[in-house]
Amino acid sequence: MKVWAILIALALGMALIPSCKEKSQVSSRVIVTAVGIDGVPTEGEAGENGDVRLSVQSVEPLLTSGSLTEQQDNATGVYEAEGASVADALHTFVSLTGRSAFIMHNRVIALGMEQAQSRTLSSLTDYFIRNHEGRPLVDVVISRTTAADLLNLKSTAFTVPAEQISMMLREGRHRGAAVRTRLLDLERASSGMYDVAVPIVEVGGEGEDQTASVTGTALFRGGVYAGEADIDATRGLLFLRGELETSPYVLELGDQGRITAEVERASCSIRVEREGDGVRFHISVDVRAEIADETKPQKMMRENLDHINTALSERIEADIRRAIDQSVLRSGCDVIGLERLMMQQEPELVKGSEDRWPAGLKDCSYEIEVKAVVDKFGEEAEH
Amino acid sequence: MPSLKGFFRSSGDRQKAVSAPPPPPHPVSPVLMDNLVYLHAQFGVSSDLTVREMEAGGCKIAIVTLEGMVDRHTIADAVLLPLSKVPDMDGAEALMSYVRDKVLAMVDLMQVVTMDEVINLISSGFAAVMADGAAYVLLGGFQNFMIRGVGEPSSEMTTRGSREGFTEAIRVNISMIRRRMKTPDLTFEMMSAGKTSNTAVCLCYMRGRVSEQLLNDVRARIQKLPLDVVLESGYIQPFLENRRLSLFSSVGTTERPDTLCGKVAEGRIGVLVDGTPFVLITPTLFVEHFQSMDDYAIHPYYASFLRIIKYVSFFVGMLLPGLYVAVGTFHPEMLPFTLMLSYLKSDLSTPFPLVMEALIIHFLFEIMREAGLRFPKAVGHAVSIVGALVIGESAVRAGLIGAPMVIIVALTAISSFVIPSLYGPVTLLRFGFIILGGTLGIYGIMIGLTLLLCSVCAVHIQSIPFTAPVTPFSLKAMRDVLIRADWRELWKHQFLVQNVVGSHLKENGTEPDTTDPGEE
Amino acid sequence: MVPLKKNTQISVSQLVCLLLASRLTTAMTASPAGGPAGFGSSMLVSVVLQIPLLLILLLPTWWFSRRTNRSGTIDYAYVLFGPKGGGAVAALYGLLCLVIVNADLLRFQTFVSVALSPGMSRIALCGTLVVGVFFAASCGLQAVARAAGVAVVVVIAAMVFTLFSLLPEMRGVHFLSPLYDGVYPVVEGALYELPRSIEVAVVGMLLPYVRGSSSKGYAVWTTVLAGVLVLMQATITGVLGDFAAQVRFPYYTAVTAADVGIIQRMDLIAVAVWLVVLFVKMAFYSMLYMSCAQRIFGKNRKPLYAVAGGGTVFVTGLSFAGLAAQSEQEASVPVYLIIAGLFAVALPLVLVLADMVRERRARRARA
Repeated sequence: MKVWAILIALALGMALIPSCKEKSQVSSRVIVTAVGIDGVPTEGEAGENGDVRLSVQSVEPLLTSGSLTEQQDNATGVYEAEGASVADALHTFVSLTGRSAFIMHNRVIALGMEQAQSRTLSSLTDYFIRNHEGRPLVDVVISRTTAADLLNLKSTAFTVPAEQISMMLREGRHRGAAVRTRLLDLERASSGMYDVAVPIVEVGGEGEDQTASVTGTALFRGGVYAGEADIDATRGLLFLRGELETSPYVLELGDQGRITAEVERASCSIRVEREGDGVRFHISVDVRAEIADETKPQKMMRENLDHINTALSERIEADIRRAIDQSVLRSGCDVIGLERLMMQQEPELVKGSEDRWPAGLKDCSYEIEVKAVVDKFGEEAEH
Repeated sequence: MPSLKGFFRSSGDRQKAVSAPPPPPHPVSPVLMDNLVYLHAQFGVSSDLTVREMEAGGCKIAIVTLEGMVDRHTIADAVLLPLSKVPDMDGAEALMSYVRDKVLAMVDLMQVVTMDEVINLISSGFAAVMADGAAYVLLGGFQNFMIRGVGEPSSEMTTRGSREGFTEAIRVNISMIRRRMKTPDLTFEMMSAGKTSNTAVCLCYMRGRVSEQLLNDVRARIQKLPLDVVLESGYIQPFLENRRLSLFSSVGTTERPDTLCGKVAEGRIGVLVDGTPFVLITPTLFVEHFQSMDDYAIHPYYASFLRIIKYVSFFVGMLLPGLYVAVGTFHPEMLPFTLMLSYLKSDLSTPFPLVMEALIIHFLFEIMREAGLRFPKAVGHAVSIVGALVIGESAVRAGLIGAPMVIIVALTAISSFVIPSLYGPVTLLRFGFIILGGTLGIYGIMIGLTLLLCSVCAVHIQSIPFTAPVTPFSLKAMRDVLIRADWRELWKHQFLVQNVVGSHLKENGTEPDTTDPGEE
Repeated sequence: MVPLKKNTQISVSQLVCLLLASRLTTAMTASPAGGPAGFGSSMLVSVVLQIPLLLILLLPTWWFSRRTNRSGTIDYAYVLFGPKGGGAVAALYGLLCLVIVNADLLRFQTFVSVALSPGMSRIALCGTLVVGVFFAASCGLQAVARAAGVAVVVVIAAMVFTLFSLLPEMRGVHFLSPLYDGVYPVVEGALYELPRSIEVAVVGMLLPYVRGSSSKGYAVWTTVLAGVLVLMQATITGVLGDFAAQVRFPYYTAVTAADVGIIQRMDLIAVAVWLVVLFVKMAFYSMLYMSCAQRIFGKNRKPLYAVAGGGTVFVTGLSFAGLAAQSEQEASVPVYLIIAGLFAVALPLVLVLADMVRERRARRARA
């Protein structure tokens, strides 16, 4: 009897809990799918202390018919709000919409190029790192123009636009065209282990024909914008970080025509060697590739397989050298984690002279050895 | 005969030992009229008491039966007719000897000396022959009461194996067990339960396999039953359990003779109760709820797969609505994006908070299930159709409940029917988890689940941990818990319930005298 | 009929599970705040190095157990010092258990209702937890120990699953030589980790209720513990690297990076699993507190002890929540080291010495 009395009392007490009287907490909030951060063009304040303009891309569940494939045209929209900081702008956003932002399903944080160059990364993303609703696997991207441009881009597929950006970055990395940076990478980089590289996306075209594409990589030194790597250097960077999965290389072989070699597998090992007082990084890259297409008969290609291997190796080496040149030598960014590698392999070089690095990486020598092997599959198949 | 007679006597003796002031047995009087007056006084105006008085062998005799319990034609042919032809005898003793040896030529003939036994036996379909001048009564079994035929068990259907299920008649049930276990070790120990109903209860076990300690415990518990009337095995079930607050029963039931035989062969005790086809099995471990007769008849790989299905169904049936409510109310970010949109759309277009919606719809479902179960089959189907239409179609269209909730209810209902023996506890727990999930989210669910785990782990059934062999864990026993190993593996180690890991039931064993620091 | 009695001893493996559940609760929400500077690869060695230190800490209890033929510290205190002395020891143990339960409630509040779901009703969450815990505690040692077995399997399975799902996020460059900063951070880390195994303090009072070789139990416990802690530390370092030193709950932060497709928030699953071990741990210490209370005041008022203990924990837990930020909790690590030393080292040694003195006196008296 006592047990029943306790159970009834608990059940009655339950009526006092808000969730039994109110609807779910999320249904009264704006479902954010992407956030863009731009600066407010004012005359007085600029740079680090200027106001920010947030573009909040969101989905209205009632307009989606419960499925994104059947959504109505106005199911996704972009709200704008301004404030002294990201948190302040979000506060303004709440006043404007009457609903707070639900950022747990946020896919993308887009930064306008001007903001990325004038502020530190941490000042722009700190809100999302600290907030208990912030997720570490959110893509961070820089828009060549403004973040609002990127977020206002219409989706060509039946998904929310943010999903399209996220997919573009995923595919870009898979094809060796873009680095993929998540909030987690920014967090890790904030501890000083290595520097961070963020993909740059450019919106082109007009009206309905607007498209977005990755056009390079922004390099940050200690969270401050330090330079940019082009697409070839980005590919080299992916080789160096062991992140490249596949990439096509079009090789011009003079009289023998042109072939496209598709990188299928790549591995990179970096060895740190002492060189007198200095340091030499021995970068060794092994690549397996396949011929994707060719303009001349196979027999001719077969005879020149070594030539193809050499040509591919040279191209990859050039990309890698370009990556080192643009990131380490020109921008002074350790986006590869070279200092960390020194700490692993030659700790004595770093110990006691921490101040020297990673700036000292500019003075190091880089020896690159690429061994590319194009698969003989076509030849074997003929036999 | 003497054995049966002795049995009833001893049973009566046990009863006396238990009930506080045992009334003295009323002896059979040598004066026939006294006995008949006593019987009439006991039965009052009951119209089924039939007394046929006649003269045979020069003595006054009476044949006492209860109408409807005996075969009247057989009594006429085998008792009354021969009695009418008995030559004159030298007194009642000689007549009764003659009747015993020459007239009542049957196996279940008994000679009793107390009127209580007479009443008990005629209530079981015996015909009593009393003679004026004899201080005892002869009783012969002429049972012919109507019983339901042996049919397929309704609650334990199988795709393979026997189609026979227990019936209400205890003797028929005993015969079904005996037919499957042709060993003298199989013992049926008759007892009676219920001070007024005197219901026949039979302990079924295998000598040499059952733990004496266990047997004594079960026997004592039945003897100590304080009940006045026992009409179903469920009346006895709580008295065989240890923990009152546990939702899960550590005494199993079965309608299948083959299942009972399997359990008895593992050292368990079956408790058959007259008047019900549901036989109790004690002790029953928690994992046994997930085992069925089919498992042992089909291919082991498929049987193992079915086992996993059952475990999953158990958790789905118990937790799914609670988890849905918890995730929907507090942690929608756990859902994949598109699923979350689906959920939000339904949440925005329905009037009730999710927890209320879940409670209402599950409550309605239980009402409809109960109505469908109790109504005649034809009406029951109509109830199901109305229920499906009302809940599944109209309520969603009217925007009263969300479509995902209907899916959840359907999934939950189907899952909870996979293990019929756990339907009750699972249903109650489901409501509990809906409330916990709706008030405290996934944290509430986990707190409730761990509390349930602790509570189940606290259950002992006759010194065997209810949760064995999962915790305490036995790897060897897993061959028939998580999976069902091949018979070539299973037969190698004979499983006896008293040997299960963590058990303190040992044949003539004693327990170390320790006390739990937390438990009294 | 021989009445059936409940045998209430637990096996050594169940003791191991209880101790593991208790330790893992702390490990999963351990914070680097106030800890050694090199919270990274060096901790991989530190967590292993703490094992011999832990065994040293257990040595006096083991000696006491051998000498007194597996008597419990409280039982023996009653024998040596009479009801007053024994009662005092039992009261100290009871207080310790309540403090540990209270610390765990604070941990729960900090982690769940502050860091994860600030919108939830703190009173309802803590109230349900405390009621549940004390109800589970009233189920007895065996029930809690059996539940601990399941909880430990679940939590270790979840850890392994988490590790696999985090493999794509792990970076080789995050791992440095454990001795990169020298031996000092490694030793410092081990010393820092040691008092987190506060369960060594109560092993002494549990001894009479454990069946089997306790030394084998210690060996299994410490070995499994080292394995699990290395697994956790490898997960943290692999995913977060040096960043782990900057976050409040490194293991939880690492788990948030897991992407398992259908489950969008693996971290919530990890928290749910953590809650299972936390519940078991709190139930374990609550049960020990209740047994101490029973020992002092008699066995007949068990519900009263539960209500008193639960009420105290609930009220103090909620009152101190504002004061006890995680960093402050972690700052109390040295305090725990002292407590562990007091109960695991000093008390058994005092009891053994007192026993020796008593024996010598008895021998003299006989002579």
